[in-house]
Amino acid sequence: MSINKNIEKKIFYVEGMHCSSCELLIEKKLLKKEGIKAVEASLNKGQVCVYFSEKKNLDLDKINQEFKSLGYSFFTEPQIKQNKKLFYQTEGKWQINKDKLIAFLKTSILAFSFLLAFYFLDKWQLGRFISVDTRSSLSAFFILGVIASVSSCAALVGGVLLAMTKKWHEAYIDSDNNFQKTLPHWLFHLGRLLAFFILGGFLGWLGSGLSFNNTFGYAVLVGLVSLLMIILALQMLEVSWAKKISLRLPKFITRKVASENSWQGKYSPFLLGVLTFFLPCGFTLIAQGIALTTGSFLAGASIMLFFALGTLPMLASISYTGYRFTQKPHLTAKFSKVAGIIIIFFAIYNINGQLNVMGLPSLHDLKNYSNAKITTPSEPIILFGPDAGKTLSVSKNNSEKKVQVTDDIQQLEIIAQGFEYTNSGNTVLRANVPTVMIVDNQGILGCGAQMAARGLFSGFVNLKPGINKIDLGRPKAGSYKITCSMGMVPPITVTFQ
Amino acid sequence: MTKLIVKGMHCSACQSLIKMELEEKGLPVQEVKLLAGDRGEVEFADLNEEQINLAKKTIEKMDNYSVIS
Repeated sequence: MSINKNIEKKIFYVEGMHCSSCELLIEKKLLKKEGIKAVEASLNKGQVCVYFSEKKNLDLDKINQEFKSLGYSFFTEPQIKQNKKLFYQTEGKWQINKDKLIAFLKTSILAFSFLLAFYFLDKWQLGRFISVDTRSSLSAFFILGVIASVSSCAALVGGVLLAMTKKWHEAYIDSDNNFQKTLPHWLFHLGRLLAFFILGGFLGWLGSGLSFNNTFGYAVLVGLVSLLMIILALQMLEVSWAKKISLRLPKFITRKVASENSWQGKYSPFLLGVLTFFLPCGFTLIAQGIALTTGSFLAGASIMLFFALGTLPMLASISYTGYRFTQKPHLTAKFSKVAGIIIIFFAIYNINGQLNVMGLPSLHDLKNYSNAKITTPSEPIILFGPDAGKTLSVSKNNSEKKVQVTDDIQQLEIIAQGFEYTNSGNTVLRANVPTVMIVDNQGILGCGAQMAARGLFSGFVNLKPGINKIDLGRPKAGSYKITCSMGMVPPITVTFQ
Repeated sequence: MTKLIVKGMHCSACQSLIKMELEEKGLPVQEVKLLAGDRGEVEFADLNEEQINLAKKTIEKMDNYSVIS
C-alpha cells in the first residue's frame, strides 16, 4: 500500500509477542534494516506495521529467518489464534487442547498425591494416640502439636501459609538476598511462636474463668478464613472472575514493603503469625483449654509454646517448599496450580468440619446416606441340635432398642472411645421431654475429648474419663449432630420427635 | 569479568533488547541471563570505569529497566 510516492506500508501478522518488550525489540531490529523508515508493533493487535521505501523489497522468508531464534513468526495473513482453553470448538466440533490437558493432568497428579497422603494421615486418626491433660509433660504437648500439624492444623494454618507464599513472593520480590526473600516466612513463624508463648501464658494467668465455648463464632471465623483461602486459590488457578477480586495489601503498604521505616508492610507476616493463635484448630483449642486450667502464666506459656514448636516442622516445610518453588520462574506457575488445588480441598475440609459442629448438612451425611442399606435379614438355618435343618424365624425389629426412661427423664446414651462416638441407645427420642445425655468416656482421644452438639447444648463439653452426665433440658423436635469441637470426629445424628 | 544486575527483566525479549542496546554502544556483552523474580544479569568482558558507567546509563535510559548492582 502506498502512503505517498516514496513510502510503502505493509502490515505483518506476528505470532510470539507476549509483552511490550517484544514490541520494542521487533521495532528496533526492523528499523536497523536499510530502507525501513518506521515500524509500529502492536501486541494487542498482533500486528507489525512497516513503512519502507518503495524500492525496498521486504522478503518475508528473510524476516522470519532473522526473528525465528527470538520466537517470532511473521505472516501476511491473520492467523487463527491457538485456543488456550482445554476444550474448544473448531468448525462446530469439540476438540481437546492436548498440551493443556497434559499440563492439567500433571498438576492434578501432584496435588492429589499430596492430598492422598493427608487423607490417609487423617484417616489413621493420629489424634487417638495421644491424650493430654494438666499432668502431661511438655513433650506430650509437643507431640500433640506434631499430630495437629498433619491434620486439622495443616488444613487451616497450612492452607493460609500456602496461600500467602505467592503473595509474599510478589511483595518481597525486590529483596536482594536469600535471607530477605525468606524474611516473611521467618516473621510468620516467629510471630506464631511468640504469640503462643505470651498469649498462652495470659490464658494460664487468667485461669478457668475464661472459656472457649462459642461454636457459632468459631464456625464463622473458620468459614471466613476458608472463603479467603478459596478466593486466593482460585486466583492461583487463574480463574478469571476470581482475579478481579483484589485481596492485595493496599499499595501504600506494598510500595514501602522493603522500607526500614514502614513496619506495616514489612511486619504483616509477623502479625499474621500472631493471629494464627486465634484460628480454632481443634488441637489448638485442647491445648488452650488445658493452659487455662493451669492457673499459671509460665505453665500456660510453656504448654502453648511446646505445642506451637510441635507444629513448626510441618509448617516450616510448607514455607520452604513454597519458597523454593516461587524462586524458579519456570516452576512458579506449576506451584500456583498445585497449591491452588490443595488449598481448595483444605478449605472444603475446614468448612465441612464446621458444618458438622453447627449441626448442618455436610459431606459426612452423603457418606452416611450412601452407606445406609435396608436389608431383609435372611433366616438362618439351624445346624446343630434336635431342630437341625430347620429355619429360624428372626424378628425384623430386634435391632430396635427402647429409650431408657428413668424417673421421667429420658436418657441419650453415647460411648466415646478411640476417635468416635457411638450411640449405644436409640437414635430417635421424644421431643420436649427432660433429657440427659450420658457419655461413657471409655478413652476418647485427641480433640474428641471436646464434644459439640449444637442445639442440644451450647459450646463444647470437656469429657472426663468415665461417665459424664449432660443435662439437655427439653430438646425441641429435630435432628442434631454430635461431633467434636472441630467437626473431625465422624458425627452421629440423633432425632427428637 | 564485569557483571551488572538489572531489575525489570522478565523474558527473552528483555534479554535480546538489552543485549542489542549495549552492543550498539560498543560494549562487549558476553551473556545476558534471566534470574529469579524480575532480575537479570549482564556479563561483560572486563570493563573500565567509563564503560561501566556507560553500560549503566544505557540500561537506565531504557523504559522499565534499572541497574541494581
